Amino acid sequence: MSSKVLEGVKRVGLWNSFMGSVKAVLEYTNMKNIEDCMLMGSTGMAFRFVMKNNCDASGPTVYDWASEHFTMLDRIGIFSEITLLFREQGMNTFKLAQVSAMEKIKKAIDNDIPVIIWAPSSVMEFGIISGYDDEQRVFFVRDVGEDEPDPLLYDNLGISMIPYLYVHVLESCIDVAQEKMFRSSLVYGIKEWNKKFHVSSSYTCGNAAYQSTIDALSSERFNDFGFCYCMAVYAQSKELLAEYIKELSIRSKEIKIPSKTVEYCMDISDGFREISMRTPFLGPKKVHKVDCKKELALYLKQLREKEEYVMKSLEKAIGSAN
Amino acid sequence: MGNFHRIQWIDGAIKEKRYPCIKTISEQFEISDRQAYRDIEYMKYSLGAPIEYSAKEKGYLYTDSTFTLPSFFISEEEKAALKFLSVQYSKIKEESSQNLARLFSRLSGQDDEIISQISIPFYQFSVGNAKNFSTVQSAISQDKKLDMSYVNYQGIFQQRTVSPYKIFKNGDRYYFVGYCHLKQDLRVFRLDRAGSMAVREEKRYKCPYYDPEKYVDDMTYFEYIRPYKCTIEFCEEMDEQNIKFKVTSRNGKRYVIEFFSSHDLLGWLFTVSSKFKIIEPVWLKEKLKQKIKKIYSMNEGEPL
Repeated sequence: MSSKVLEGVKRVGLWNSFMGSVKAVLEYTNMKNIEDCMLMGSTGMAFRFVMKNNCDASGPTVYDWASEHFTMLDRIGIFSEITLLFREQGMNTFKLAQVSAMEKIKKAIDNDIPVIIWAPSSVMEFGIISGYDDEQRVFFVRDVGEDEPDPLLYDNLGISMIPYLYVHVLESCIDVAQEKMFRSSLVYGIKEWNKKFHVSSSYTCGNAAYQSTIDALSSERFNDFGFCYCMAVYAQSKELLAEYIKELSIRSKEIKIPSKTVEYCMDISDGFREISMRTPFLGPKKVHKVDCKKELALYLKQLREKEEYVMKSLEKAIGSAN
Repeated sequence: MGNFHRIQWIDGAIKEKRYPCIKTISEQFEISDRQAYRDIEYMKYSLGAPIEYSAKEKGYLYTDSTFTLPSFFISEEEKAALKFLSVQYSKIKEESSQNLARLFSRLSGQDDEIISQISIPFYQFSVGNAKNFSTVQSAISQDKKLDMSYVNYQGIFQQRTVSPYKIFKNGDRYYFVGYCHLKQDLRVFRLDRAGSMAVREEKRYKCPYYDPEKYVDDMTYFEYIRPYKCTIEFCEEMDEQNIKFKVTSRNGKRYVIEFFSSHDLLGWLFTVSSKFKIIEPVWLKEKLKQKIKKIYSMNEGEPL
C-alpha cells in the first residue's frame, strides 16, 4: 500500500482544458517554460474552431485526441505517451485496461510527473491527477475549478458521462527550432481552416464552422448552453491566437506577416470576446438564453471574412518564406 | 370515449332540431362551458361538420342536413400519441407547426392551456414511447407507482415496480427518474427501453435522497460512476427518512452512507441537529476540516 501526492500542482487555468492541463504539468515539472499564447499557437490548438451543427458544447473537444494531442505536443518538442480507450457497453477487458492505466499513472506520479486524464471530476473536461492513495483507492485530482475537487475513485477511472479512458503522460522534452515550429503551426492552422470534413457530417471545422454556427443561429436546433460555452472557449483561443500571430510577426526571421493581418487577428479576438460577453457562459447548471441571434449571425459573418483574409495572408507568408 | 359520446349526443340533438347550445351541452354532461365549446369546435374543424350557431334558435344547427358523423374512433393510445405530438409541434414557432399543434391538441381532446404548460423539447418520438410517456406522466400526477417491463443497458429484461418522480430529456432521448423497488435505489430509466407499462394502484414511495434539481433537460450528468462511501457516527440515532443520502448499512449510531459529492454531503451534515464525526475516508475528513477552517477564518475577519 503506497501513496504519493505532488503538492503544488496548479488547477487547469485555460478554457481549453487540454492545453490548460499541459500548461499545469509543464509548470510543475519545469519541463518547458512557455507562455499561454505560444503554447496555444505553436501547438496549433489556438487555430482549432470546431462546431456542431446545433452549437452544442461538444465542438471544442470533438477530434481525434490521441493523434492530435501527440502531434501538437511533438510540434513543440514534447514527447508524450497516450492511452485512449472508449468504454463500449459490454466491453470485456475494460477492467484490465483500467488496472494497466492505474499502474501507468502511479509510475508517473512516483516520477514526479502529474498525469493528464479525461474528466477526473464531474466536469466533462480534461484535468490532472496529482497523487494517489492505495489505501483509500483514490487519485487526487485538479480540474478547471478553483477548489480541489473530490478525489477520483480507482474504480471510476475512465468512467464518466463521456466514457473515455484517456491517460496522457508527458515524458520528456527537446528543443525545436523556432522557425520550424512557427511554420508547422501555421501549416496546421491553414489546413484546419480549409478542412471540408471533420469527424462526422454534424461537425464542421474552421471556415465551415462559421457557416454552421450562422445557420444554427436561425434554426430550431440551436443549443443556447453549448453556444455560450463554445464562445467562451473560442474567445480565449482567438485571443491567444492573435497574441501568437503578433509574437510570430516580431520573432520570425523567415515568415513575414503583414501588420494588417495582425490587426485583423486582434479584431477577430475582440469580436469573439464581445460575443462571449453578450452570451455569457454561466457554468454547468445554468443557461443564458441567447437573444439578438440575427445580429450575432451578421457579426460572425464579418469575423469569418476577416479570418478568411488572415488565413490567405498567412498562406502567402509561408509561401514567400520558402 | 367521453367526448365521442358527447359528440354523438350533440349530433343527435341537432338532427332532432333541439338546437343544443353551450349551456345545454355543459349541463347535460356536467362539463365546463369551455369544454362544451371545444366539442363544437372539434365537430366543426376536425370532423368537418357544417355546424353553425343560429341566433334565431339560440342553438347550433347543421347548414347541410345531409351531414353524417364520420365513423372513426380515436383510441386512448392514439390520443396519447396525438397529445405528445401537439406538445412537440407547439415548440416550433412556425405558423404551420402551431396549426398542427392545435389540430393534434383538439384531436386528442387535450386542453391547449395544459399543453402550453408542459415543457418538452422537440424531437422524433415513436407512438410506443408516447404511450409510455403518457403512462409515466399519469403515475406521477396521480402519485402512484408503475409496473413495467424494462431492458437494461446490458440487454437484460426485468419486470420492475417503480415510484416515478420526473421525466426529463438528455440529447435525443427521454428518461425518467424514479425509485426502483427491485433495486431499492434511485434509478434513471430510458423511456424507449421500457416495454409494457401500467399505473399500479399503490401510493408512490418518497425516496429521501431524490433531488429533482439533479434531473433537468439536457443538463443531467448521470451518475454513471460508483458513489463514494463514508462512515459517519452521529451522537444520536437518526431517522433514515431524514437522511438525504442512501444509507447502505448501520451499526448503532454509525451509518455507512453513499454520496456523489462531498459538497452536497458536508452541506447536509451542517444542517443536521445531531453532532457527528466522520470515521472514514480520510480525504473526506480533510475536506471537512478545510471547510471549517475556511468558515472560521472568514469569521475571524478574512475577506469572503
